[in-house]
Amino acid sequence: MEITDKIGSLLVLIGAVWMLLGTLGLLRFPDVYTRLHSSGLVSPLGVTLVLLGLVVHFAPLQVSASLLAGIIIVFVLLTYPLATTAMIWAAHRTGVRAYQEPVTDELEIHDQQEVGAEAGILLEESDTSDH
Amino acid sequence: MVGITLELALGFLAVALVVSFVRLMKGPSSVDRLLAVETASLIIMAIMAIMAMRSSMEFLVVVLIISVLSIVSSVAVAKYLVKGRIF
Repeated sequence: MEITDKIGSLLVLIGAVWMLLGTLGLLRFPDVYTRLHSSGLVSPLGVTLVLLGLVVHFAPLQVSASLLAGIIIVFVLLTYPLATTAMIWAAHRTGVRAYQEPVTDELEIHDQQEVGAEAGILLEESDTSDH
Repeated sequence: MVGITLELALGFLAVALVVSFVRLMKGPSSVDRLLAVETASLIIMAIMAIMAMRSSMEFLVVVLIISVLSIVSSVAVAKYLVKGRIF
């Protein structure tokens, strides 16, 4: 079909420009935390747009390929914030300094309180003995 | 028109890949380099998706495997940077 080919390729082009702009923010921001904002919010949306172009392109003739692309979209959007949160946590616990002094630092407040058993497992330091 | 649009999108994604490798070389901390590898994995996923549009449908399996491996390895390296061990 002609019209689904054109819409699919247009979505792919918009997604590629989106990912280029997100990666440009990765180059130019002054600090780890702002770079994580740029790369953790903009890039998965760019990949989602490219894969939406695939869903539209494969829809008339090969339905299994479009379903597989839809499953990949759902997987990336569900699990990518987990990786971004883990990286922000690693940056804060290793002591990477922010570019300016932050107004509030809620992760530091959370680390100093003992919130619960599960948070206690998350907060264990690196100098504990073996199990 | 479809052909030149896909070639243009591949060009933009190649420039984005080079930019993420600049951050991989420059980044002053380890989390910068972890973030650059994660972004490069996403860009390679998009390039593989465009190759699936051009050549053969089987490239989508590569996209699925790269996404699962990049998520798991990124969380594992983040935990290793904090604790000194993975579990």
